[in-house]
Amino acid sequence: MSALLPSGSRPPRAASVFYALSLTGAAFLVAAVCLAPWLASRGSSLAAPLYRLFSHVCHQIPSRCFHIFGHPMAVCGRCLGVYLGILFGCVIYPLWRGMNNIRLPDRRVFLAFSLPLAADVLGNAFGFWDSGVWLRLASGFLWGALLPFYFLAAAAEWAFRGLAITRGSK
Amino acid sequence: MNQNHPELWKPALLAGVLAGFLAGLPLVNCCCCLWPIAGGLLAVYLHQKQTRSVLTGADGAILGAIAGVAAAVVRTLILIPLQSVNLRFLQKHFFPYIMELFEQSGQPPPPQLDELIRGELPALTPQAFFLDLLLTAALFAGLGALGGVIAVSLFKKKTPPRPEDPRDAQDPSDRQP
Repeated sequence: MSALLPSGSRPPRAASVFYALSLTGAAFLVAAVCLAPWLASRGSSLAAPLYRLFSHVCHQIPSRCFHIFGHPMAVCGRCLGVYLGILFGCVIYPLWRGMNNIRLPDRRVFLAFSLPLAADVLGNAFGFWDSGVWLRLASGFLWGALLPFYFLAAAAEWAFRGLAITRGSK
Repeated sequence: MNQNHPELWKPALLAGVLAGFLAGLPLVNCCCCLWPIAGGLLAVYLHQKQTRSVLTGADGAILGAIAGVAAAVVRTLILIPLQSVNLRFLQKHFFPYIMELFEQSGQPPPPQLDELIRGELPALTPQAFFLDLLLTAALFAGLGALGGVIAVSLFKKKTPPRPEDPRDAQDPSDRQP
């Protein structure tokens, strides 16, 4: 299958639906992370379950989280950066590459975008330095922004493959 | 991905079992989200090694998702006997550091962490087991699929040159990343 499908061809409905779900999911994640401290500031009983939900994927150490409404966000700065990056990547994806492009990013691009995150994690883990929350956010954002270029391209290819099979069987 | 390759499941299951095992062991399971991604990466790598086929992104996603589900099953199963071992390890090596950080910030630890620090493990009912398995499988499948797609790009085999296709003319929208 060509990495670039005929220009002007509309993406199949499945690809568009997957894109919409990804964009909505990323926005929901970011909103939920921000919602937890707001609920906590209101004394809502919904805050604890929301914090608990995100506790499965994040340590939630307050000194590594941004604080809004007087409470820490539901995830640390690095995780928030990844979620924000994914949201940003989803927003710019159709503008940057179009929904018909199924080519995956080059490995050098992946390494370039992942290196800051890997270096930051390892540097902190081995005690070489203690990154501030903003640096964690930045390294997470960089990596997160690249991820949609993988899963959206794969989803588009899957959708086009299904469409080709459907048309071939007619 | 060609349906004529019967070895599709083996690399995915092998990678998934290894990733699930690591995701359940004390100390290394702190990188819980990393292991299913690594499992997806490994599944594609093993598949590429033993076949001559060139995988696409969607193929990598399928392999990675299978590895992720396998990892979730293995992790959930080995956590049953290792739950208390994991807790003791965390109490000795991890929780004191975490509590210090919470004390420095002036915030109380979340309730579930507080329970674990006191040594209270959540009750392992069949419902809790299957719910945990279901949620972990869904999460690990997604992460594994992501790892598989990334691996296709990282371990891409060089394909022989093919005749020029006018549709492959450079399109301005085909930009990296």
